[in-house]
Amino acid sequence: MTSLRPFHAMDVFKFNPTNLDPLTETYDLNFYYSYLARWPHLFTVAEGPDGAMDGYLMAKLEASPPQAQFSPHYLPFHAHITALTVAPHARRLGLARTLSQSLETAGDEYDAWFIDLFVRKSNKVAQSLYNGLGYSVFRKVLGYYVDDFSGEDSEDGEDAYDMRKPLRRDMEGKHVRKNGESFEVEPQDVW
Amino acid sequence: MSVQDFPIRDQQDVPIWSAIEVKNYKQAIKAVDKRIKKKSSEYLEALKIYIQSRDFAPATEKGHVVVYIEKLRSRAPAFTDYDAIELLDEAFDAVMPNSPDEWANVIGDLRLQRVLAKPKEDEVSKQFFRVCIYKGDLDHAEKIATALQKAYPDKHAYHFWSIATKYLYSLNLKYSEEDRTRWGRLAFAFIGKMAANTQKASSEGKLLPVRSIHTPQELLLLHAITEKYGSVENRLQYLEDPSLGAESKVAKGEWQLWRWKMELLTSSRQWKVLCETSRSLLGRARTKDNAGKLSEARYSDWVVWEGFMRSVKELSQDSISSDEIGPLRRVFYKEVAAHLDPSSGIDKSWRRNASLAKLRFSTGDVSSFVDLAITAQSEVDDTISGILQYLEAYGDATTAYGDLRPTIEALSRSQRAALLSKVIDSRAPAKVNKSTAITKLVNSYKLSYLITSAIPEHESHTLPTYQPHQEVTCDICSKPMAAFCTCCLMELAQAMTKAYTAAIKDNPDVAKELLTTDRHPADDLAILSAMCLIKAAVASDGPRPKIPQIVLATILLEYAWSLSKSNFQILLLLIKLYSCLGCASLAIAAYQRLKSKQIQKDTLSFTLFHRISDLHPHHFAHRPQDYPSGKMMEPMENIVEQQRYYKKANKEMTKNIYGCFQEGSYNSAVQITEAYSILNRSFASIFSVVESGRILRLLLPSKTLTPVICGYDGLTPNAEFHSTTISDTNDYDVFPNFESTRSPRFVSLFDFLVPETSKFQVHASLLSEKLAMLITSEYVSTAQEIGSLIAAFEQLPKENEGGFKNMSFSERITFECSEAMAYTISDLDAQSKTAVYSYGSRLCEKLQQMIEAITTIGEAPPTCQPDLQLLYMGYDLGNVILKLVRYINSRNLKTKKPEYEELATQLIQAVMKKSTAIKKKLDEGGLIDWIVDSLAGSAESTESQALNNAIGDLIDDNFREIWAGEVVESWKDSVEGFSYFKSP
Repeated sequence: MTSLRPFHAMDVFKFNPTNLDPLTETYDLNFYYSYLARWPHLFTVAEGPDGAMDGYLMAKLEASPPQAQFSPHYLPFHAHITALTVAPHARRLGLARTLSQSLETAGDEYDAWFIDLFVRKSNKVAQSLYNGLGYSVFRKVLGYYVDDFSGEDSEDGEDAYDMRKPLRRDMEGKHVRKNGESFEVEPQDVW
Repeated sequence: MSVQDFPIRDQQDVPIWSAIEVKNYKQAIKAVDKRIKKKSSEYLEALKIYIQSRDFAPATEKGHVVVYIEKLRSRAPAFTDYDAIELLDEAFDAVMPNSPDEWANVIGDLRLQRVLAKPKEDEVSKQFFRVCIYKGDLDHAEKIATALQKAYPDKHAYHFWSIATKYLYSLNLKYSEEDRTRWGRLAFAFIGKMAANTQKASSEGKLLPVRSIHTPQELLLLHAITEKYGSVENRLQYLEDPSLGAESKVAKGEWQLWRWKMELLTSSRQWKVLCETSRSLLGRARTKDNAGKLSEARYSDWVVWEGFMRSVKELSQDSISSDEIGPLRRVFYKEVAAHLDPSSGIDKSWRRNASLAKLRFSTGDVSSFVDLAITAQSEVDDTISGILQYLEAYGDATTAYGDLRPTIEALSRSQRAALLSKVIDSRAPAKVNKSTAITKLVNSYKLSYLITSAIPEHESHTLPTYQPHQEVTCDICSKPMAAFCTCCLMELAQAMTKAYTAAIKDNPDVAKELLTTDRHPADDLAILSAMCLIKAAVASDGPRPKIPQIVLATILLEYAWSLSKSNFQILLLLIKLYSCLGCASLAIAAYQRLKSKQIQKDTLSFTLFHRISDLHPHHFAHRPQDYPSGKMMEPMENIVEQQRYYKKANKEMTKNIYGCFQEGSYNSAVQITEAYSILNRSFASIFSVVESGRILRLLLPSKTLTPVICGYDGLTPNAEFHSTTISDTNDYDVFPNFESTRSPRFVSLFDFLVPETSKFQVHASLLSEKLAMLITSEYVSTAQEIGSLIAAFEQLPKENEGGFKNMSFSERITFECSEAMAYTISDLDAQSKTAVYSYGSRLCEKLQQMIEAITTIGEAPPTCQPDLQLLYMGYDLGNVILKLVRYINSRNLKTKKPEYEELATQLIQAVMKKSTAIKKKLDEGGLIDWIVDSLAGSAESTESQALNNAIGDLIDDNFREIWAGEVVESWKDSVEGFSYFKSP
């Protein structure tokens, strides 16, 4: 069964089925609650039988600060997927697609240009999922992740792909590009 | 705070702050006095107090600081200098840290006076509101919010600040019930007025006024408050109102409102409305918008399908005529068909809801559908084929089992038997070579387990004639069984081990394709096989589980984990199994592999740390061979870190409650406040205090324990009282569980080790621990403290009220002795000589029981957790009683030596004797061979030998020998804790 509901502050007591997975980071409460304070409508849980947490999506709507508008890395108003995770037991059901579509609907409602997200360069499964959902790589952020799961044990951490999907507002595809893998930026260029 | 934090108001202040910077407080006082002499000001007065609070002067000086600040509260006109108030706050915090109630009385009030004196300075008022929220001072926060609302009646947000703060006040258990209700009702009245204003403006076609509901978060707050102080009818009226309901402009599509609507229509049994609403939503979910998108796809949520099924069922039973039933059911199936139509464009996850709804509707297992008996053979066949079809369509996902479980539970025995044969037949005999095929195979084994073990067990355990140790005949294999059918379990374990072996060995490519962060699709076969073994071990007649089966389950899971290192469910079971075997270093290695952090320090600590003082209180010397570099965390370090976490989390939560006010997210503020209240009263936070006391008494017996050292300062006050609300935040649901939905979770089977934590047990443990701290630290107790402990003992429900249900033998004895000791001290304080003996017979009886239990502990390894608990708790109890005797002697009552002194000494000696014998046995050697032999089996029965062989086919000799070596090293490490036992 698939059921979506807003994230509740008390979900932190029962999100272990998703958060004990090695690819899902458990942050301090400040992180979850600051999203609950600012974007409660973009924090969605997929619930399984008996209320078990099958997955969740944390997202925000934002733009780069006004002083950065002439920077080549300026980001116009857009939705950003901060975390999208599905518990190991609830995979292969299309929940990631369902959760990200709920954000697309919200992004369109708020007239955002696109949705973006960061994914580990080594996480081919996630990249293939997002490709299937219509996302493409916009740029590569060098050494974005401090820890390295790629098996290369790089001292500089692991690179991230910044992936994007244009929303209704970006009819002409102004904010997506081909061969984004070859556009490299440093972590400090990313807001 | 330093010069940088405060604006220098005058060049002449510079020398004062410079002296503060270098901590030359004498010089700073001189300089400030000189300035005050010339011209006093609020700022300089406060600065002087601030300096005095910084100076490590005698306590009288600190008292002077508090007295001075308290006097300011009644000063007229009020103290209004912003910087001065900040300085006084700093000063107060320095002399009275962690005193929220006192802070509210003094500084909170001072801040409120400033707001009331200058109500038009809203930036300062907001700042002070923020500080009061941070400090949990909702009393003054509410008053400040109301002052803001009055000073700025045209500011929409301040009206909601005032309402939300009133409601937060009503949720805070530290305030009296009467006050909380009063503020809650006020919030209800005010927000009701806001809702009425919204309705009125909308009906008149006017713009929404300031005092009305404007946003989804305000609507959610309306429901939160109305849920508590209003009625279901009130809420339904709001939900159906065009200006406040789920489709209103204000709601902005807030999905939670629809969820509530479905829920409330169900609870108020409005079947017709529910049917129409859910049907309409499902129709919209599959209707494309102008852009050709299914923009309302989320309306095919399971809650909508549930509402539709339930309403059709209820209407069919009661409300509509018989000739309407057929068409209504056809409408349902038509809706299902439309959702399942491949051309509908509906996503897989939503289509799955339609499939499941069809299955549940046809088998009648939706909510109270279970009473619809299926008798006709054709219907039986339909049901079974429906289940098989669902399995075929969704069986490649792990969730299929959870989806189908309630449906299968609603079947009759014969239907289950028919299904089982079909499930077995449907298993691919040839090798499976894809992850999806393996998952399907695993699901079919899970269903076999459900049908042949989990459901029959539940049925047997719920019979009125059921007795846990009485033998009955198993319905499946017709052999005798007690709590569980060992024969069926062993057969299942063997079959699943073989299937697991085949899945692993025949499909090396599956494992190769896995990322390091993936789990192997066959893992659940190993987990379920281990679960069968654990059940079989617990099903033994005696109080102790059968160790060979526990050993087999452990190595099977350890092997499975070696191939699937991201599987945290295997690790969770390993923590429990290693604890059972007394292998604490291996248990903690499994725990640390979970990499739990942040809030998980609270929700997962129960898996190991609630009883770590009885398992392995000392340093971990043994490091498992493949354990990564880095430190093995010591038990006490983990507890200290956990306690540190609570303090950090409190700050993070209160900070975000204010953030919610800033963003207008009032419903989130309510939720975070509720979470804050729960975390501060969690079982885990209380256990961290109990365990730190027990560990420190053993490891550092000469250390004087104080409430702060043990972490009592972070606990909610009076947590030992039964009347104090405490919360269970332990995440039991993260453990794998394939039992019947109506049975206890699998993890509760580990109660044979130490019972699952209960509210009673938490209160009782804290109470015993508080008393032990008072006695052993020779802390000067007051009559008031002892009186309070006795009141707490008296408040706890006694045995006949089910009080001791969730306590182990050792915990119960300790609790009963603690109660007797508390009364003894109380009577002593009343100068009663008879006090020494009044409770003596009870103490003696309990001590004798403890000594007897200790003498029955087997000396041959393994020494399991219940036995280790007996030894550690016995030793602690003996010592606490001897300290009590010392305390009695110090009173010079010239009484005869109490008998329990001798028994306490005997208890300690019994512990030492037993622990020495256990250690000696461990040193004798040959243990690795013993474990390896036990893995090979003893041909005790055909089933168990076949299982040993199956595990032998899976796990090679090398793995077995290395693992056995680790277990033995871990046992040796565990008994190192016995070296802390000292003769009295």
